[in-house]
Order: sequence, then C-alpha cells, then structure tokens
Amino acid sequence: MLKKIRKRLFVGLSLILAGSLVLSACSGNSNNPGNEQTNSTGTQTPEVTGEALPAFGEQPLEFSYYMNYDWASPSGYGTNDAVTKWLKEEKKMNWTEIGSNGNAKQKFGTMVASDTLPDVIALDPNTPEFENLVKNKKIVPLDAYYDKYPNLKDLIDPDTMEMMRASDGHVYGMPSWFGSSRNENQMASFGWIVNRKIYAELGKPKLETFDDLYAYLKLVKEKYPDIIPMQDPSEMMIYGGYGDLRWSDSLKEVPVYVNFKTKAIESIFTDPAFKKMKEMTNKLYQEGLVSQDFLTQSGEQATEKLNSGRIAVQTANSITSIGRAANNILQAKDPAAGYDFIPYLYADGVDPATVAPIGFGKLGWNQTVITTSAKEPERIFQFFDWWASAEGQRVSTYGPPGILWDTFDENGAPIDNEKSKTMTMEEKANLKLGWNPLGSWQFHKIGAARVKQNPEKAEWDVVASLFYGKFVKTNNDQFNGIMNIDSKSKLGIDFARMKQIVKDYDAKLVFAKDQAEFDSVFKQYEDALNASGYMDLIAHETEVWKKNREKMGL
Amino acid sequence: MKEHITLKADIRKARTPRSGYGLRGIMRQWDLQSMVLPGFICLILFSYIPMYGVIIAFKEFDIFQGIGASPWVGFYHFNLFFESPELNMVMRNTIIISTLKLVLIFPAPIMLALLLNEIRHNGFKRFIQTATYLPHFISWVIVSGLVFSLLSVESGSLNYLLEKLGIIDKPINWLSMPEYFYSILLSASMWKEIGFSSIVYLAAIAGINPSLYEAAEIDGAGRIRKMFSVTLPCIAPVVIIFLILSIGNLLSAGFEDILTLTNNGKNGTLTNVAEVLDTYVYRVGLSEQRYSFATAVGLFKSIINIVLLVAANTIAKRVGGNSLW
Repeated sequence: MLKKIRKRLFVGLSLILAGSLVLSACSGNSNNPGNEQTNSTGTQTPEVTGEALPAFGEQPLEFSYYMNYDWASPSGYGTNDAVTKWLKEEKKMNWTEIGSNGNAKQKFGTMVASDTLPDVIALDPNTPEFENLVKNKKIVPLDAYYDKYPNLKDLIDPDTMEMMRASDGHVYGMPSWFGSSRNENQMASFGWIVNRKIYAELGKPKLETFDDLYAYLKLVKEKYPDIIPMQDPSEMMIYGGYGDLRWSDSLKEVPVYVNFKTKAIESIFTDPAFKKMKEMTNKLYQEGLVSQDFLTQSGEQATEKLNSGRIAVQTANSITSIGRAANNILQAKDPAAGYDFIPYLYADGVDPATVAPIGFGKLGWNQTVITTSAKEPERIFQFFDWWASAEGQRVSTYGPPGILWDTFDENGAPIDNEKSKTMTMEEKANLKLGWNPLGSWQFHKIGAARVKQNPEKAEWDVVASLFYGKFVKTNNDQFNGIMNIDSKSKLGIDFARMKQIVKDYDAKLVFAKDQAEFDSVFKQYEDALNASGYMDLIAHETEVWKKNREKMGL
Repeated sequence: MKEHITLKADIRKARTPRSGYGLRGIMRQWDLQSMVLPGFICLILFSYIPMYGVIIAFKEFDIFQGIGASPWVGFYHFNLFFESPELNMVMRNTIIISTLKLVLIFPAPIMLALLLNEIRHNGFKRFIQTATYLPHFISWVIVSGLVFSLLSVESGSLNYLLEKLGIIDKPINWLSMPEYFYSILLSASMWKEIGFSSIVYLAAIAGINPSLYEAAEIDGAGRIRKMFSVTLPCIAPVVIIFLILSIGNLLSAGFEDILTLTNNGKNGTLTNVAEVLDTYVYRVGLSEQRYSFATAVGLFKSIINIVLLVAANTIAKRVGGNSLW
C-alpha cells in the first residue's frame, strides 16, 4: 500500500515539475532579452535625415526618465513647480519620472533584466552600468545628433568630447553640469552657511579658522540652549581646510590621499590632516557641539531643522538646493533671518589660498543617455540640446517667460518685469524654480550676468555659487572614474567590504570617549582597511589617474 | 445549526464512494478538486516556477545576458561566502538574534492569549485585543521612525523623561550603542507583533470543549489550575506546530526590522551586532548587483532552514506525537 502511494506521489510530483518546466520555457523568451535584440539592432548609428524636425515644443513629445542614484525620487513633473508645468502645458512635453526607490543599483538591475529600460537614463559614466549599456547596445550613439543640432556641440569643448568617447569611438552621453575653458564664471555648490540672526545677535565674532569655529559653537551652545550649534559636520569640508589643495572628493566611498606633489595616490593614513580632521569631528561631537543624532536622523529631519532656523552653522553640500530653500523660507517670514555663506574655514597656520576642497570639471557631473527603447531618440536629443542652451537654462532658474520676466539683456539674463517686483518672497518660493535635468555652463553665464544687473536683488544661491566658484582650483576630470570598479571582480568585492569598514569606523571614531580610545580605534581602522585590499585599491586608483592625465596631457 | 449538521453529513456520505488515490480518485471528485485548482495554479506559478532562478547561484549571472546565457561557475559563490571575513560575524548575529526571538518573542503571544482568556469583561477584552494587534499593520519604516523619535538624543521623550526624573544628567545616545541594540530590536518587535500572533492561540483556546472546564471545576480546580491543566495542554498541539515553524526559520533573523532600525546600515556602530544573513545578502548581494552571490547565500540559508525544520519536526514527533507531517 505504502509503496503504491509513494509511486503515485512520485508520478504526481514529476507531473508538477514537468508542467513548471514547460511554463518556465514559455516565459523564457521574455526573460532573455539581450541576445536577439543585439543581433537585430546591430551597431549602426540611428538614421538621421538631413531634414530639420519641427522645433521643440511644436509637437507632443513623451518619454520616460530615470536617474540612477539612490536619492533620486520623482519630484512631481508637471504638478509642483512652474517650470515643469510650463513644459507640460506650453511645450507639450510629457516627462514620466521613474524613481530609484532608494536603491539605484537594484532598480537598474531589475529594469535591465526585465527589459523595461526607460527612454532616458542619467548616470555616472565609466561605471560598469554605463559600460554594459554600451557593450550590449542598449543605448543610442549620439554622434550624428551632435552634428545636426547646434547647442550642445557648440557648448562642449572639443577635448571634452574626446574624453567622452567610448572605446568603440562613439559618443553615447550628454554631459550634465559640464564646464568649458570659455566659461568665465566658475560656480561651486559646497560651502559653510551660518544662521544670520544668531550670528548678528552674538556680535559677529571672527569666523575664519577652526579655532574660531570651536569658540563660536561654544558660545552658541551657552547662549542658545535650544539651538543645535552645528549640523552634519562634513568631514570633506574640514579636511579641505587643512590646505595644500587637499581635494575633498578623495574622502568619498573609501578615503585616499591624493598627493599632488608625488603624483600618486597614497594611503589616507600617511596624511596627518586626516587624523586631525577625525579628532576634530570627535571633539565637536563629544562636547555636544554638533547634532547628536546625525548618524540616525533622516535627510528630511535634518532639512526640517535647517528650514526652521534651529541650526547655527552647517556645512552644506548643496548650496543651490538645501541652502537656497532654507534661506528663502526663513527670509520670507522675517527679512533679518536666513543663512549667510562664509569663506571656507581652515586650520590655524594654513595658508587660506591653498584651501580648495572643491574641484571643477569640464566633463561635468554625470551623463544622460538615450536607450534603444526610446521611440524618438532624435526628438529627445533635440529637447536636451534646447534645454542646454541659454533659453532652457534661463527657464530653469528664473522660470518660464511671463511670470517673473518677459525680456532679457544682451548676456541672456532675464530682466524683472512689473509682476515680479510686486511678488512677495513667499510667492516666489512657491514657484519652486530650479528643475534642471541637464545643466550647462550657460547657467553660470546667465547667473553671473544677472548678479551684475542688480547685485542687491540677485538670487542667494547664484551669488553663493559664484562666491565658492572663486576658490576652485583642482580639475576633477583627471580623477574621472577612479572609484568605478566592477563589483563582481576581486577588487570590487574588497571595495564593497572597505566601504562598510569606512562606514563602521566613521561612526566608531565619532563615539570614542577619550584620546586613548580614539587612538586605538584609529589604529584598528587602518589595520582593517589594509587587511581588506586597501593597497590594491590605491594602486588601481593611481593607475586610472595616470591614464586620465595622459589623455588630458597634464 | 441543524442545516449545518445535515450538510456535514451529506459531505461524509458523498465522500465515501468517491474516495481513492491517484487520478481515478481525482476524477471521481472532480467537482471538489476543481475548487482547489486556482490555489494550486497560484502555488505553482508563484512558488515553483520562479524556483528555477535558483540556478544562478551556480552561474555568474549577467543581467544583460539573462539566466540561460550566463556562464556556469559551480560552487564559486558558496566558496566566496564561506571564505569571507564577515562570515563569523554574520552567522553569530543571526543565531543570537533568532535565539533571542525564539526565547522571548515566541512565548509572549501565548502568555497574552492566556491572560486575555481570563478577562471576564468582554468589552475590555476586545479593547486590549484590538490595541495589541493594531501595531502589526504599521510598516517597519514607521515603527522605526517612532523608535527613533522616542530614543533620539536631541528631542527624544525617553531621554527627556529620565532627565526630568533626575536618573541621568546627560542624554544617552541609545541608538548608537551596540549594547542596547538587541533590547531595542526585541522590544519593538514584540510590541509590533504580540497581539497579532496571539490571535491564533486565542482561536485555539476558544475551540476547547467547555465540558473540560466544567469537569475541572467539579474536581475543585481554581482559575490558575484550569489554565495549566486544561487550557495549556489543549493548545499544546498548536504551540508545538508554531514552535517547529519558528525553528525552521532560525536563520531568518529578520530583515526590515533590522534594516530600518540601523538606518539602512548607515549607523556603522551597530554593524557588528546587527548584520544578519538577510541584511548581508541585501547589502553585499543585491545592492552591489552581485545577484549570483546573493542567491548562493540565500540558498545556503534555505537549506539550513529545511534541515532544522525536518529535525525539529522529527524530534517533536518522537517526543510528543505532534508534528507538521
């Protein structure tokens, strides 16, 4: 009897298995998108006819857009702000936002595996993701479009275009926030901001060095018990304050020391400034001078504190978004309130002229690519080409024509209209200007011209960005892609491990109770990194740096 | 009630001639079997078909090439995991957290159910029941947000209370001290799940034949005596089944709870005590696009879990006669 049951059970199970195999085979086709499509599409550049398409805005254009960053989330295209509303209503462009759900790599993988790539992706070049898109022919070469449309080709310097060329000789991306040797108005978006009201009430003490900062924070803590003296102590900004052109981007992911003298990348532990910076963060934390929740609070909580004026000093890694919003919100309620930007602080004994934590780059921040899923790649390119021009960049910062301005001066800077002069700060803040998926250096040019028009009425963030732009000395392009490592390689696996070690020890160093504990944790930190292939990473980064310098002729 | 009984009798009557094993048996009761079919199809569709994806644990999966075209690499990813320096830490945390959960969180709903059963006032009983099971429907993201604001240094109510009472003179950074993490995690989990888990036990208690209580009363048993001599033995089979299931999940120490309470792993001081298998798979595997590695670790976990489940089941069967199968 038992035997009989077993046999039948076995038959039943085999049937289930066979059934599921058949079903999975059916679904197999859709699960395996790569091969067929590659073969049929081939390598050819999409056809470009000589005929001009109708200008942007004359015919409806619809495409989906995805930003490959964890923090990127839909901002409500066409609903929240004056710019996208105008693009949707007046320019007939419908832009579908795809969010990364807080984990860009995972989202990207899902979209590739299910063959549901969006029409346009903004991502870092030189990453495995970018290279795989090129290799598997999932994105459209843009060479012919660049030749056909006027703006981007004119704005991008020829040597920058060469740097952007993929190994197969095509250019696949449109750079964002790129520069040019013709750009006279460098901007930078990293800085220190100080609560205007508190600073004035405390008699504007000298605030130039880290010692001044320490004294000031102590004073704030004493006089204003409900105010958080400093929020988010950005280690990158403190590190840059040790001069010698210390470049703060080298602290990203896994910190390294970029030695400009020996032209080599070295262990961060050979740089005394790194330990001093860590000691300073620890001291500020232990004495209650920086936000005690900075490791556990969310970005929204931090922004809320800033926007309500409960912060005395903050290092802001985005003056244009965080600083501008907080300043405008506070100023709308009370003209004397808000935040002021101050020059980069530095350590005692350091020549302030050598403090330049932020670099500039002609390659820009990232690249925007058009995938082969896009139905009308040329028209999408046409939009971005238009957007990069003075016309598009003007709309981004100052809104569509007819709201705040109707005409513009010879430099392209808009001239305030009557309506704009009577609008309150709050009404202006509600326009939520600033949507900009592809910044070009026209943005800098218009911003600077606008400041010249009327220095007193210029936008806070433009003035701040131009101010920090003057400190910029290092060319970031030479470091292009030094930290982009294939996560499946041996180095990539080690790199992921090192990133976790950095995260762990960043926190442990902040929480060390005294100097002895700090020293021992610091030593453990060095040992842990060294045991996880830190030296291989340094060798790799030195190699990429060298190759980039050769390419650029530095 | 009467109709109900006749219906049951009808079914019993109808079943007798239709029983039998194999296809013939199924054909004979095709009308009843067809009711099972939708569930059966769903099970195959969502639980069995995706299972073939497990083969990527033995491949170097490339998202562009698809599962079929990716090259085979054998046990490479398993070896990577067993040789990784994090293995000890991850396994240790996993076992500590799940053991703590088994010892502290597993019995809690049983106790709650027993206590609820003793409440005479029906309205009060219902209120407690609702109040305890509501947190189950709040997502972990919100629960951890509540925990954060309760325990925060700058504006946390716990620190405020302790300071006002004069117990501490400086706020404590509860969330960044590894020694408090397990207590916070377990308290939050217990608060969230205790009410919902107790529903099953309450249902089991409701099903106990009242004549047993009456008999115990005649024998002179008090309330506590009844609880231990009638209620507990009667719900023991249910308890054992849930115990077997939790032992089978021993290597699943939790995921969302840990991830959200460590601020998505951003709070580095906690990694050493909080990184468990599932968060490790998420961080090292999925976030870094190492799908094959993630699958290999997941497969390893499932195999251990199955072994534990079978072992627990066998022991339960030998010892008490209760088992899943």
